[in-house]
Amino acid sequence: MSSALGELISREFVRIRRQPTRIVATLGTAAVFWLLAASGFAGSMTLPGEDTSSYSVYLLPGIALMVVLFGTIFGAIGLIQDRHSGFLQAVLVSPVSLWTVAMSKLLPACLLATLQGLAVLASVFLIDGTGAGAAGLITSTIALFCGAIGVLSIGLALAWRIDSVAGFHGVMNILLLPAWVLSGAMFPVAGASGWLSIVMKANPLHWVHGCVGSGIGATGDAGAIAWSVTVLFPFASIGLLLLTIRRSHGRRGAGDG
Amino acid sequence: MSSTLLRAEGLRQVYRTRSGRERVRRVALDGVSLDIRRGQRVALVGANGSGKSTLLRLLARIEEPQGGAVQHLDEQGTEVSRRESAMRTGVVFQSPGLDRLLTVRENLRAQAALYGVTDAGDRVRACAERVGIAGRLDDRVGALSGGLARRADLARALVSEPSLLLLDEPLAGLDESSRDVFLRLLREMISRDPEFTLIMSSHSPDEIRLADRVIVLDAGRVAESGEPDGVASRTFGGCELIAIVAASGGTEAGSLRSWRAGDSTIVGGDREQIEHWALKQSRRGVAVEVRSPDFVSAYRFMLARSNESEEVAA
Repeated sequence: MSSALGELISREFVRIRRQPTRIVATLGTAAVFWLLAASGFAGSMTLPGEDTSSYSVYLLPGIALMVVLFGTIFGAIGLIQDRHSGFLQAVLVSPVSLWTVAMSKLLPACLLATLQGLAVLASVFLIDGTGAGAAGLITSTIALFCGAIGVLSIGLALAWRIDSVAGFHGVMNILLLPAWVLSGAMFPVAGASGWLSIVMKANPLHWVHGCVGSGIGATGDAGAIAWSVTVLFPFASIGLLLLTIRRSHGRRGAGDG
Repeated sequence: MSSTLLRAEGLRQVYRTRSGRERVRRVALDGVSLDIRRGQRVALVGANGSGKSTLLRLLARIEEPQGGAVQHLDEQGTEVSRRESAMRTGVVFQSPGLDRLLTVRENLRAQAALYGVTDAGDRVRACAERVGIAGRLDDRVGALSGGLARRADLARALVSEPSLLLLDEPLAGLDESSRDVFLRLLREMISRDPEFTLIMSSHSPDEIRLADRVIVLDAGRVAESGEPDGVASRTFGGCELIAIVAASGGTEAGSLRSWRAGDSTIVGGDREQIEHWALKQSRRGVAVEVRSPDFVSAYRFMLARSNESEEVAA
């Protein structure tokens, strides 16, 4: 890792440490949501043929995904803040490549979001009878990390083009919240109508959710298609991010510093 | 004669913006070409919106021009890579390029890492001392006053020891003490290294006096370019002295040359003529300022004319 990338990543972690509300807000929202949905409304949200306790297990991967989404939204907002503060401009003037700039925003926020998601997933051990093991937890965490990179790359591509935090929030609410609901986070695709089931299957987060859920035993086996989409999703999204940055900065490419 | 460091050819930049409900195209630069030689101190001057900041952004390669090209050249006149040009260029923007959540030291260390500076600790301390903020290195940038943050930003630009410094209105909004620090530092850098090249957009006479070349931008085009005295002389038609009268009415210039700029009238001629004319005016109770046709006067005149034509166009 180049020293420039290392320094930019360490700066991101310093920023995160100095904004503790960012972590509290992400985990707090997920905790409140889980408490309400899995406990408060559990009676009205049972899965077909299952008891109410299985819904709280079913919700876990979705809640972890929600934590990742919120974490990545904060990460992308950081880019807009960097632009407003002038720091981004100072970085763009420097000899570092656009690839370094992109990775310095991507990796720390994804790591943090995945760790937060992992904290949520680990609570599966507090629930009896799930049969989740350490290996499954690792598998789920890998899927979460792929999801984090995929979503944050899209978020950063949007943040690169949007100048206001409020505008960015609006776009994220329109895109990401429906994408989260349609991932199967709250309801399985099995119960969805024909058209909705097609929309859900076209959503990469649906497959990420399947992989996260299967690892901890909250949903059925994810299968090869789910893992293929989950692994390809971050690569495609990073491609979109780099394309957006390159288009914004003319011919300056990823490797020409 | 020193070699060309920077060449811009036919730069054109158009921004889409909104005016009321309509989407409009604003031409920020319209065919700007210039050569900057090593060791030159260039002041980019012009009214607000004349394209100065856009030109600096293109020269710093933050943006790619929509038309034309910017080339950074080596001593032999060969274009250097983007990485090489970035390594030798420092930029100070209108608003500091610093992270407000980080301390000054953390910001400067990050900058040093971006440029691959190996002795970052020493370099950071030295730069902070040069701009007089060594005692505030461990303060967060968000806790600094505007003037101190600007000094810290100058230190940021100096960490990589650039041979080309681009400054976007560096003295704007600074108090007297910070202005002095900026000017002293710039003079020191100019005197220390004859190859050190400075390009600054400016409205301040203090900054303009540092320049050995001025480029006047008007509506995205180069209206004038040359040595400050040469530009002033051309502006006032080679007059030896000028007299500036603040009121626009009731001043008869007779056979002397005169120009109107905003609320002022400028009268020019040879020394004897102007001294005689000014004496006559002051006997009539009209306040007259007599001075050499220096660039600062010429610039104020051009600015007033530019604002006037903008009002007419509006």
